[in-house]
Amino acid sequence: MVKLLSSDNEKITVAQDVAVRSMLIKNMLEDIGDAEDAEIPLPNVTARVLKKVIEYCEHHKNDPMPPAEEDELGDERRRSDDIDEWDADYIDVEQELLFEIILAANYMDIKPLLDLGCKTVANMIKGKTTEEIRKTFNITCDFTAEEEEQIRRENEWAEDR
Amino acid sequence: MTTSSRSTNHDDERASDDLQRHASPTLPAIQQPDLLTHIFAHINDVPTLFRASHVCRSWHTAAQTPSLWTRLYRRLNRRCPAPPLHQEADGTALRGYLLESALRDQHAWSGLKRLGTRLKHANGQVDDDVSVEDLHVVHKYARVGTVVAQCPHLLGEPAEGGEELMKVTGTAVVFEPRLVGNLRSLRTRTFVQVQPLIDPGKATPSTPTPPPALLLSCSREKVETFAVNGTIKTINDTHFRSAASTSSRWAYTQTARRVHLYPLTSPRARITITPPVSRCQIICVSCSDNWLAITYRTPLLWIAEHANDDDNECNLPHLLAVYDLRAVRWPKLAGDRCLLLDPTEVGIPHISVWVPFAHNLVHTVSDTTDPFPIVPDAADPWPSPVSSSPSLLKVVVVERGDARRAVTGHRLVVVTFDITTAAELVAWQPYRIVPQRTRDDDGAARDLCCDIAAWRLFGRILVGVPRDPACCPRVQFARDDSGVGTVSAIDPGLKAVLTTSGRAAFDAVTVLLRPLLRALRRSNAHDAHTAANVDDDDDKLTPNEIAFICAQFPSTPDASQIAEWASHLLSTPLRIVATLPPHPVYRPTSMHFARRTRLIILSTPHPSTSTSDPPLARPTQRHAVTSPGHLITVLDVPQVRVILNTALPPTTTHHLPTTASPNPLWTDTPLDLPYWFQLMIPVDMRPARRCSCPCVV
Repeated sequence: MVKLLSSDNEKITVAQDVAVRSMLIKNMLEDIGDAEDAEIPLPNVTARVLKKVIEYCEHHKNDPMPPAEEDELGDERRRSDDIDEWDADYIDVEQELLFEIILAANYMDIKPLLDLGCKTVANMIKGKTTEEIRKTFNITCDFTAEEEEQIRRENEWAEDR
Repeated sequence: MTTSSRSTNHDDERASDDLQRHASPTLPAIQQPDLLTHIFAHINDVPTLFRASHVCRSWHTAAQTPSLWTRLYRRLNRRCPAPPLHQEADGTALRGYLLESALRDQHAWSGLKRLGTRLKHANGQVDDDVSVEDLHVVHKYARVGTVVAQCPHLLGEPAEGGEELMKVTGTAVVFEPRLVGNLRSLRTRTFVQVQPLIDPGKATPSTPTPPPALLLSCSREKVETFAVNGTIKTINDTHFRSAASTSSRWAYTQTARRVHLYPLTSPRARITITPPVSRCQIICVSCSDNWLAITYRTPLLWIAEHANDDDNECNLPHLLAVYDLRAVRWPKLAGDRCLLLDPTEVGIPHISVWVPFAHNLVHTVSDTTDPFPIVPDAADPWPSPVSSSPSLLKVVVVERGDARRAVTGHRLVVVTFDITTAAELVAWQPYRIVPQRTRDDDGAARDLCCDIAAWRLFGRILVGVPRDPACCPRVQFARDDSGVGTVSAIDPGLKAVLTTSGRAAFDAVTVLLRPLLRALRRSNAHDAHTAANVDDDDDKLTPNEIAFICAQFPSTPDASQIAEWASHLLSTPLRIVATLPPHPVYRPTSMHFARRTRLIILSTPHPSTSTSDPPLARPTQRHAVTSPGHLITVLDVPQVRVILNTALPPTTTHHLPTTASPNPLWTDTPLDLPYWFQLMIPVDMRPARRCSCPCVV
């Protein structure tokens, strides 16, 4: 068992085969050796998010590990229309939690979870106009008027349909 | 937690809820470049990534990541191992190609083309349901992808160090790119790339960047040809015949039947020049910034019906069309679209003139390279006694005799247009160049070959370069004053005949030009001594011929008038006003006109002038061949004098025998060293000698 310490000082114990889905934890475990009482601090992850991440790792603990480096399979992995049902239910969360999961997956180096989060965001972007994307993610347009006019011209072909 | 509880059955609520969930402030993950790049990597279509790049600055920056576009490119074009221009760090060009590719894929262009044809024939009314967008596209616009970057992924890297270079001008390089990808499907297309240039010496920070490269392609075209049995068959012609660019305005390509003009400054438009008569085929093209001259071969059916006329000596006209590119009016060019235009839409008028084409002679070329007009205020070399108030444009058509048919000499037809306003035919002047008869030292008659390889017309100055400069003057100069003043103005009736491009006019001009060819054939060297015995009637039309011409026109012209036209079309000898004497070593290979009054001639030495030094002693010995350098001659054309003669230094080429290895292997057994040198080597280091006797060394 591995003890994880969240940023809000909550200790969560997980099985090692679940914890090592995170390459960050796996590397730390290799560094500290067999120290059973050691706690692994995760200062960038709250307990709420950590539990959610662990839920994902538990479900996928028997999946083969993704390749460490980018290769040709990377393109296949980047398809955004191949999310299975469990993953789709899992990631159907509030936008704030979704991005916290993405940040946590990025920090803990869990590539499949990071891909899942990014695919979900990519699917939210698809089919939307630029303005709809801004509304969806509450993004303020910080272009100057001149830049925006230039972009409007560039974007004309895409909007005129 | 929002999971299934928020996933109600009310789709409408879900949709609106989807937007309302964004009340949260901007989240940090949305602004992190690395995460944004990761998110964008899961976008599989170009338009979405394009729109995402316009959300805000951070998204815009993240979307510029070259790897995103490279990955997207690979996904869209999996057969291509490497994307085009991938060496560009910012990926701008690749992004542009992908956008155009995406645009290309949005429409079934063949369907739209058919729809356009139906609309044209149905006067804009069709019964089927047609989307407004399709109508819009067919009527006026076409996507960029149809014009440029038909297959953007095909632009490959240079093969073995470079592409096949087709032409370099001051503003662009035109070449055939190496193609990669699915070549089987591309065998029906030909590609050229036009790469605009910018002079680095004149570039300043404010200098606009040159427009991106144009990748141009042509598809199959049907062309006519004679089958073995004499019938006319149609075959596919798929190749560009030429592609080039003018000094500053146009890139153009020529296929079998069309010329496509692409403005260099705005590659979003294409003007398609089609023949004035259908089924014509292009013979040659010449284009400058303001003028485009095209010679068209008439349809083979027309030619075939005259092929056996007059003992196979008929003189078949072809069409010379001159297009006025001075005042092109561009429609509004919006966004990332492009315009497919015809000349009438942009205000390109043209005039067609019949010029001779004797199919049984060797028709070399209509040398109308870079026509430029004569304007009154320009420096006029060799001023004419008659003042030239209008602006004139002259185009020359050259025909060369066929030695196998015992027809020597040349025929030039200089067609002059008044271009003060619209181009208007003012003169049609044929010239003939007859070989001069000289006598050898032994008194035997000998013809001066006068085998002119090229004639070029610079304004009013004709400059000819012979094929063999040993017996002919190296360069010949003549002046054409036709069309200057009102004395030699062309008869209005003849002008109407020559500028009417139809079947009846073709038939009439075919017969009208017969005396012109007869005169050329009669003036060849072999018949020259019997010229006096030839009936002068050969220079006239027969009554049957006049009757035939009259029958071609509804307003039957007078027979005497037609005879006068025919006499007007007879050639006159071209008077050479100056020559550059023959040179025993050099022969001109190219000419360039600079500042209109300076002619630069590049001459190359004859191969026989090369010297081999030293003479070959053994076949395996290397030897050197020294060749004289090129000669650059600068001529002041108005004064007809040589300003500069610069012979470049000779060059020496070392030839290695084919059996010798240029980089022999190192050997440490110096058996080939001289005996005295071997004695200087210590005994224990001397190489073992092979001995024929059974002793042991």
